[in-house]
Amino acid sequence: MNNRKVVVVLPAYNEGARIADVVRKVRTYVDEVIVADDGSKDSTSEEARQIGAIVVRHRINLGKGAALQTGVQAAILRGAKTIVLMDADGQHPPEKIPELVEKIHGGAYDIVFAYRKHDHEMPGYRRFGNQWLNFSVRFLFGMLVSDVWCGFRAFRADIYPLIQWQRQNYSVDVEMALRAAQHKLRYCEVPIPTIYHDVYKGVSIVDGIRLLLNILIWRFTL
Amino acid sequence: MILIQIFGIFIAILLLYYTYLSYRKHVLGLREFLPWAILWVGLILVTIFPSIVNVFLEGLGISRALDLFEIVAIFILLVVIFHNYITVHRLENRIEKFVRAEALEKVGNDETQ
Repeated sequence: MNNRKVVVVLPAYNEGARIADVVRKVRTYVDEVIVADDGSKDSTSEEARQIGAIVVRHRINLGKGAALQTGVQAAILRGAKTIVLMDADGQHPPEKIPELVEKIHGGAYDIVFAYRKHDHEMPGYRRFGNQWLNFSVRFLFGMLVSDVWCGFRAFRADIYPLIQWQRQNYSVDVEMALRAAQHKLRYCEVPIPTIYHDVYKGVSIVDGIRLLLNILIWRFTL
Repeated sequence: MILIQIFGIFIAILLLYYTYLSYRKHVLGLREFLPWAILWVGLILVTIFPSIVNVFLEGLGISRALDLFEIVAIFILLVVIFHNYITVHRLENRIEKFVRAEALEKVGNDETQ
């Protein structure tokens, strides 16, 4: 039994063009790669399976939060001790995985957040939105994080019940961080370079405003 | 009979027929069919004999029958919206549980690879 089994969970939706390359790069750093295919209409599942990933597939699209839940539950069922979450579109550098995992294995932290350095690779409106989100989290929850919306993070599998999220959509990354703050889990941050592809399936400005409102609601409901 | 009454009766009969068809096709059960049918029949009666509601107007302190109709309609709409919201939410939860359970069925053995 591997007491340090590290599993990466990649929530994916229509990532057939990139998923094989991402899995290939990621698997050199971890024990297993789980692709949580959130009802993709393309060949995401087939591509991921061919390259050796474990695939859990939603019959219909439920949202990133649901895909992450399914993926993390699959990782726990397969005996994961440390779980790494990454986006499946190749925007998170796999070579940073050992740095995140090492901080968990060191025993000093329960959860490690990656943060994108706010260089000029990031579009201006997104940089501005992220700063507002980080400020809100700091002001309302006292949590000092530089990039609360970054989906690249690692945590000990046994804290999953404490950070288990309810939201099924894009706001899951923020909710997870706030639940970690609520339970006073030990956390730290690791810088990663910002990578943006030509076609970015990101969230809109309206989504950002809704997320800000959600943070305010979570202040009283979490 | 003025034009608006004819229009009201026509709409109510159309809805009554649609409700009956839904009952015949087993989309609605008897317990769902009856309240809706009573509502549409009541609407027809009130449209033909508006004076029926006069007895309620004084008691409720409302001056016009149309005001009573609007108030009751808003309440009914609010109840229907809330009921639909709860139903959709419950269905979403059930679908999510089902889809996620199905996805996790084969985890633990090698069939997922």
